[in-house]
Amino acid sequence: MRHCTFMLVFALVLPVGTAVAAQQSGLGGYKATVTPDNRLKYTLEGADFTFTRITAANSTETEITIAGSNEAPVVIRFGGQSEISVERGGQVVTLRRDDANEKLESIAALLNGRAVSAFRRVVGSYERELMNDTATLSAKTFPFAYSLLLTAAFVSQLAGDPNAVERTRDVIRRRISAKLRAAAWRTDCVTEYEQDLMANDTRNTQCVESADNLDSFWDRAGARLLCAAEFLAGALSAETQFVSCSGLSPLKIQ
Amino acid sequence: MLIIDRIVSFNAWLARFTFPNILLKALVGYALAGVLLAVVAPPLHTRGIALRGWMVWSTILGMIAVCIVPDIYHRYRRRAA
Repeated sequence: MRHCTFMLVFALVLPVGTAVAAQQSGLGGYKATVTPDNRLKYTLEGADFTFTRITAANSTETEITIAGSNEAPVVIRFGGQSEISVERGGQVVTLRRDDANEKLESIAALLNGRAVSAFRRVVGSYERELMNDTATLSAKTFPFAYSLLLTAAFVSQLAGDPNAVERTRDVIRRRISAKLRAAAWRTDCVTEYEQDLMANDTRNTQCVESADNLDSFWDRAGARLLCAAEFLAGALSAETQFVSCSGLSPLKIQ
Repeated sequence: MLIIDRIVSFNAWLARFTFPNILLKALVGYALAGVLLAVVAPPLHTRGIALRGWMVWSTILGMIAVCIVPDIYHRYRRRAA
């Protein structure tokens, strides 16, 4: 009976705990789905905004929609042609490569709303969390998280922040390189030992070859003896390094 | 005190610094394991067999056991008799 009660309490508490954890991670409610016409749809719902990004799977055509409760939604389209269009409340501004700064200012004016600000604030605080290296992302979630960060940076850049995309790109690059560095640092002790033994063997082969090239019989014997001593020392040194590496690895800071 | 007593007492004093035989044998086993692995690992590597942790540890512990187990066995037998 006690066991059953425990299992019931556990089953009730687990979903609540998971939901709280998802909200605390800063990206609670971020979903990726595939639409019936085979497009990828990403949604993020906050208290003051609803963000939707739809990207065609076979092209780069993308539509970003940020909607708020008491204001007209902002729709950003790009990727289909060499232009970006921003639409809000029937007003459309199209930006081409050779357009002047006035267009940028009118786009920034269209993106000046509570929903866009709330979206930028939520994703910005999540970016800060990642910047401080406190949030760890699993291999399954990090592509989605990084794509959301870049999308928010793109929106911020359109809204008038000139370095937003570069800043986010630097954060992502720093996180990826830190991950690679950590992986390289945590080299396996056995692999290192095997590499040491291979190097020791190569060194011994070269040593014996050079000893065989000596003219004097006595010199050859002496040199071969030294090669054997060097081989022995190398083998024992590698073994000691392996033992200390295996013994000390649990003490290393992960 | 006779000279022989001095020698005996000096020997007894020296005995405090003797290295335990079993440790010496364990060290020999450890060194032999290192040499064995150094000889065996490169040809295995060229044949595509990577060294594993269990191979290394079993060789090291096995060689130490080979070197010290006969000694322990004989001590036990002598005590039992």
